[in-house]
Amino acid sequence: MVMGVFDQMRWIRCGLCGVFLAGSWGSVVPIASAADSTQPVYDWERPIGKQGDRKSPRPARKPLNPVPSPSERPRWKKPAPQPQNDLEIDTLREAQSPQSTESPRVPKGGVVANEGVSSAGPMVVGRVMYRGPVPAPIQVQVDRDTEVCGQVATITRLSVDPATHGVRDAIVHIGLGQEAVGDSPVQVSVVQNRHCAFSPRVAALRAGGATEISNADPVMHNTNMTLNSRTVVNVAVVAGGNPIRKPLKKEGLHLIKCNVHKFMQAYRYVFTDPFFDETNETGQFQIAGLPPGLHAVSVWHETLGVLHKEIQVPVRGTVTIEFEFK
Amino acid sequence: MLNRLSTALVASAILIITILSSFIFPDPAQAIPAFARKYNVNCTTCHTAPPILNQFGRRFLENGYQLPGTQDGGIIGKKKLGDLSLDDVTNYLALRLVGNAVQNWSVKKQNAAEGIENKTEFTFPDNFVLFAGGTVTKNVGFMVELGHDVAEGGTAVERGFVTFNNIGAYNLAHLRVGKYDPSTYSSYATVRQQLGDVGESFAGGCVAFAPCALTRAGLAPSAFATKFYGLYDRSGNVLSPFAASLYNSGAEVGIDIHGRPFGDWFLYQVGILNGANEGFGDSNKGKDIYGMVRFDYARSQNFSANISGFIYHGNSNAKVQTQEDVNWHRWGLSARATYKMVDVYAAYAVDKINKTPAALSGLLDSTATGLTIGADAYVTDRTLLSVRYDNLDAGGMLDQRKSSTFVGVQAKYYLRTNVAVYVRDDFNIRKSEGGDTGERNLRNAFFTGVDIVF
Amino acid sequence: MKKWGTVLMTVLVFLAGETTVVFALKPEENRATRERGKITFERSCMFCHGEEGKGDGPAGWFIGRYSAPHPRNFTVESFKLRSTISGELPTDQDLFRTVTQGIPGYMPSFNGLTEEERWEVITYVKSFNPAFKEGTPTPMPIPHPPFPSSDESIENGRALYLKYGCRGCHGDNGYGDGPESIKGNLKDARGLPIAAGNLTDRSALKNGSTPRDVYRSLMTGLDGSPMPSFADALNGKENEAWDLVYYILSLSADRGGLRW
Repeated sequence: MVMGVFDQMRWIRCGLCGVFLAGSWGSVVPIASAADSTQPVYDWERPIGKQGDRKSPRPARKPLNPVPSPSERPRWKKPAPQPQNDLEIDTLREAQSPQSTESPRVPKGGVVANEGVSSAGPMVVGRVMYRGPVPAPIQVQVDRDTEVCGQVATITRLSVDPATHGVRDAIVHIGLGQEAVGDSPVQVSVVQNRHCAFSPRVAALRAGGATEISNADPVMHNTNMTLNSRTVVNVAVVAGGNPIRKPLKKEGLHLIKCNVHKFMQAYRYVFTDPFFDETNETGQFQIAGLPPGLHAVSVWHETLGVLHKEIQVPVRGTVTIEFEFK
Repeated sequence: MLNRLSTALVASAILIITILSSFIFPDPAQAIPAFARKYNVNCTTCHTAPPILNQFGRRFLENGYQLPGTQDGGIIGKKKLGDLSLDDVTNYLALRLVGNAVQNWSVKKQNAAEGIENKTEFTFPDNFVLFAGGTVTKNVGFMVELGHDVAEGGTAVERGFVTFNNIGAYNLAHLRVGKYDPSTYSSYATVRQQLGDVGESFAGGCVAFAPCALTRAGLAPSAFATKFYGLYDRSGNVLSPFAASLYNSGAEVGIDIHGRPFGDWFLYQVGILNGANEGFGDSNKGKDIYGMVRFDYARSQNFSANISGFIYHGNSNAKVQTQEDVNWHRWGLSARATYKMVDVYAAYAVDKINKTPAALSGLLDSTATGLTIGADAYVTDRTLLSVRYDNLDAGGMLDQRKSSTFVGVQAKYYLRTNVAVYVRDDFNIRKSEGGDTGERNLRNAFFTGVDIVF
Repeated sequence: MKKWGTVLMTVLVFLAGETTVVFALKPEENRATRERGKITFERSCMFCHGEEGKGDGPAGWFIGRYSAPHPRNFTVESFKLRSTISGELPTDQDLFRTVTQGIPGYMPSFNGLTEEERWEVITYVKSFNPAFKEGTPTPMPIPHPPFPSSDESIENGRALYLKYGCRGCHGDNGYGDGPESIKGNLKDARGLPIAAGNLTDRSALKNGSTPRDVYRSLMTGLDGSPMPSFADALNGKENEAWDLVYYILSLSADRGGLRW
């Protein structure tokens, strides 16, 4: 009798096995289920779409300004474009897009939302200088795609204004030692592959912003962006394709390379707070919106290194600080 | 002088041609040994510079050729046939062709007036080994090595054993039965060397249980060596003072157990052998026993270090010229430290003889020691430089014993991980002490050779 | 009564037996799982990946020596073999696949570990990188090939191989002897020299060699290496992507035939 029961139970056991397993499979993580195909193809910030998407609302961006009149306050201005980068075309494109009619540029800290506050609050201005010998631009022999890249690629890593000894493209940051509060709109930093160079070479933006990668050359480039040995994004960009947007969530110095053209390099410095700026061609910077108190200021340049200083920021007024790389 | 120069030129030419040929001929499909085939990985997953094992390969060996942490003997790469799980035979087999292609000996002749004799010979291959190893089912492993030593002639089963692994609990106890190298689990194993053993040569016409003159010293780690002059095996053949023996002999028949019961940091090993320097079987009922403990650090920072100590107790395991048995014991320490490209290792052994017959008391030094220190370094991805220092403080019959000290240096170039060419030179540090014995008259030995495993 | 007692006993025994089936599936990610994973990690993985998952295990250096690959540094690095977009972390299933299949040439297949052990060790590995706590990565859908291979498809794929610049690293015939690779210009994210993959040996394709696997490699890119994602370049050009996949597979001689 008992044996008979067991035989029957074995059969029922197997049947229930199937039921049990079938039920449990639902909880197993699928590799890629059919349901996924209804979602957007790639999980970028915005859905991939047609050309028309480019005109969809984009966060405020700084347009490229002409040289300010002498009567204006000594705000820094956007560095003059390098000959091979030919940014005038970009300026034209920027002017055509709705955002180009924005008000005059603001510090790269992007405190646009606090615009009204910053003119009353404290401001830190200054200059980053270097009086030492300036190495000549590096000439790299180009051994592929020479019809686009030229025979020789010229890399200028250090650009110093002879009159003021100001260093261009240094990043100045004031760290508060805590997560900064305050909103700023999502910034987008363009990384354009043009004439086998990344443009702009150096830029800073706030975490939460995005990088927009595009290729204006008729050859393949890949834009490989890393942060501390980690790949942030590595995409192949075809000429004339849609710009690829990648959110930058982590702070730190991001290195951008093209693996196909080894001489192509760029930097993006990402900060969690808005208190940073990039020096202009005379080495000037300005940072606004800081709370008063004693703060640490750091300057980074890709070849000169890093400098630190402390600064006392008043309740109102302008504080000037100078850095000199040795 | 001219003879030596031309030899060196010929050897260098061979080396250069071999290296250059790797650039001329396109990359052929690479044949890889058994475990690499079975697990679909490169040799360097388990080896630092083959045959030396890295810490992952170590644990693989200790686990009876199952991946560390697993008991996968019944699964990987096997076909299921009823209750059998059988590997494709290629996943078991591997072959090795190794040895010096050119040997040059620079020997000071017996007759001082004749100066230095140079002898060059072509000797490839020293050794051809066919080995089969792996797992037959979960927690049962095996290894068989069939070797043909061209110098000595003859083919023999060099090693052959079966393992039963993870008895009781994971890594608690592993049993090994057969003919094996007892020292394989210690920090410096006899069967895995960068500088291969080069045999000594004795004068011809030797009689049983009588001293036999050594005409040229052997080149092998002194810590592993016999160290005694005046010992014989059961048939009366003289035991070479340079030959590896006892715990370090490389091939002994017995049973042993090892495990890491407390975690990765500690390993124990105990075993029992026929011993007695017999080819097969045990005619004297005296078994040799040994025990070893090892401490390991192998966790991070590209760094690992380990130290082992063993005691080997011999039981009538050698004879002296009066044909009586003696007990020949050994205790030793070995250690290894590896940091990135540098691997440093050392072994020190003290041998002791007791139960010396009264007839030989006062004529026999019953203690002998050997010290070996070595280092390997990958100076590029494909170039390995090695150095080894050997000091043998001999014991045994006072009128025969002669200590020796050698330094060997080797440069090895890997055309592929499994194809290497090398040049090596060994220097006699004690040559200035003069004398006609084999331990002194060998000034310098130069080798160039090939190591292929597939 | 006795009969019902027996039946009840049998049912209880049966239910107790059934519970073992539940453990074979993916366990919950909690501390107990991580601790069991740690035991397996220290027995099997630590020697290459290091005690803290930094890729600095004592055995790991010898795999690449002065060049790539080195064992993955789980604490900071990106993962190469994934089904997520460029720059994203892998899904659990990606990690499971890597542990189970191994990486040809470098990492053995650990399907000798039970499935439960593998999930536990993955839970532990994820604990090395805080980014895993920030959310579950979403895999890209990797469809099955919409059409089988054909001569025309392979021809088209050849043209695309040239158009997308693959030969720059992978060479004219896919041997991995492209100009950038031969000159030693390619570096992985750690800065170690790395060679472009040899596409002519299917067993060497680290992300797998079925058409879907090759498609996945093209779309996700192999993070940490110079191999970029072609998802945006091939966006909206599905057929071209599959032509390229078939061309790549045609470079290797696999007499076993294509597997879907």
